[in-house]
Amino acid sequence: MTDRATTHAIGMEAATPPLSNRHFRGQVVEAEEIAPRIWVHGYRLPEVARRAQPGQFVHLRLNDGTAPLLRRPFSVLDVYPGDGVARILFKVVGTGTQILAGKRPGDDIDVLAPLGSAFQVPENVRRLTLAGGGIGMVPLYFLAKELTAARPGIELDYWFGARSAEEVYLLEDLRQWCKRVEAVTEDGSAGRKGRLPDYAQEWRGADMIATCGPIPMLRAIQATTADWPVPVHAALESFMGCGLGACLGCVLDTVDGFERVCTEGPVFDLRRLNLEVPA
Amino acid sequence: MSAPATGTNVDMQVTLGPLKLKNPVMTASGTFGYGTEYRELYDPAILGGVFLKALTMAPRPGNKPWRIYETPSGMLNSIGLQNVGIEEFFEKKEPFCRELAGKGTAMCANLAAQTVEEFQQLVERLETTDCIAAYELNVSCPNVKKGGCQFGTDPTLLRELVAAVRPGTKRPLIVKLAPQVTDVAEMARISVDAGADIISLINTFPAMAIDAEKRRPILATVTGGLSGPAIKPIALRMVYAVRQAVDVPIIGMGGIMNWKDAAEFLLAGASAVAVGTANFVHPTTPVEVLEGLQDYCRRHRYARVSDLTGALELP
Repeated sequence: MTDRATTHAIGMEAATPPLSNRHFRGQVVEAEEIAPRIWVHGYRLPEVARRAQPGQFVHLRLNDGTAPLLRRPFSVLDVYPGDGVARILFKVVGTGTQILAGKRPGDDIDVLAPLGSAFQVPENVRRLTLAGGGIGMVPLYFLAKELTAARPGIELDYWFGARSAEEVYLLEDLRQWCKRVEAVTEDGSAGRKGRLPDYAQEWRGADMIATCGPIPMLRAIQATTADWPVPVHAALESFMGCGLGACLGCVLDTVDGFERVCTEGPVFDLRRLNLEVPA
Repeated sequence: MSAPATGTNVDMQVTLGPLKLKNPVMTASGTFGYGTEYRELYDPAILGGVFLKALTMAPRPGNKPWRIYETPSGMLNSIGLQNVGIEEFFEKKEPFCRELAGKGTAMCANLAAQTVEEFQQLVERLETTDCIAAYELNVSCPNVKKGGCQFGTDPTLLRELVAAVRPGTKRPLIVKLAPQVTDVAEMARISVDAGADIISLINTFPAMAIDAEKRRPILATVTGGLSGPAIKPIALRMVYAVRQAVDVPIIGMGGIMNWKDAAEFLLAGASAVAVGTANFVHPTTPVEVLEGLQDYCRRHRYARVSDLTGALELP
């Protein structure tokens, strides 16, 4: 894995001292709109770059005011420990992400991180299918990159689901790490036509499936893979309060009762989740 | 009032009737877990007090998702008193309470129940540990079908409850009032008449959010409780009204985001404050409130933070 000394050169002065073991102030060192309304941000956050694992998230404060009030959780896209940079990818969907998209290199950023659980890939997994819907690709991108570095010989298949071609991105990166990369778009403008779960039968043969995306997609994958003899793990999202496990606001229903997306998750065994609620 | 020279220490201790706090900064129930969740961010022992997550006799799973939603300068929650129940509290949470209590932070149990008898049982069980400094009767949770705000909105039930719990303990008894009443001062008077030592207010406001596109409520329980800066002006007015009505100390809360907000509550008549929603936004808020209040006292030449209580100068 190469470090990106040139792109992350801004803000290379000594990092702001951490506020605590989980609370950091960093600087934006990269801000690029890589597709319409899709942004990649790189933050100088050495501790987070060193510690974050695929599936974990950063909880960002968007401004110092009270609107928006709550932090917003963003899955980590990848890390560059040598540069002390952690990156996220997000889609502009509302006020919060609109404000975030306005940040520029040199701007400060306040984060709680790294938070939540990470994807655990058992040692015996030789063939892993990654299935990401929309920006659900983010933690899977990180996983593909890390596994390629850590487990030479592991075979990765990547399935990228989107509405149309303009919402498919970073495929060149994924092709470096994955043996097979398939795009599936609802309008057929890139790759195959349809929705990601329509092709789930092609994932048979994998030793494990890691997925992330909208709840209807996860529900369909859950149904298709219900009796497959392999682990199926999913990263979930939720409205979130503290991100630290205190407010109990972000729970999902599981076979063992309500569990917190921020603490027990965001990565769950998909079969343990009751995805009937919420819609 | 003596005027300290700049740089000298301000006396941050406050005495709320029978409850002594090393400083007036507390954390509100339900926003700080059992204290352990924030350990990695700062040492909770710097706090004057902690209101623990509401406890019920039996464990409660809480409400279905979605449980929270952001609104203008505020948030809705409908957690539904999810908690481990009193016995697991003793098994798993009490040791850390003991540790914090040992460092002089007042650990206050927030009690929630559907019946008078269950409130009495909670007190009876908690009397067996010496790490609890006070009881806060949660008569104002808007998010449960039974036993939520019924006690806090019905004067007769409120009087009966406080009078029934009072003989069970010599510890300070705090009543946390609901804001959705016609006359909050009257509810404070009733609580004090029946034996409350301290009034805390306000709990969240019953409120709702709707997704117009889906023609559905956002929260699974349809309505929730509104907190955050959006409710601060209302909370301030209610603290001020209760100050006029009763002589017992007040713990003020509702949208405190910084030391200035906290100072406003003290000036309106509170003797201590609790930080709630801000714990989710900026977890070190209580630390900064404490430092900011000290600085405020120095700048305004107050030797004691307690001198701020009710020091509002009316036109």
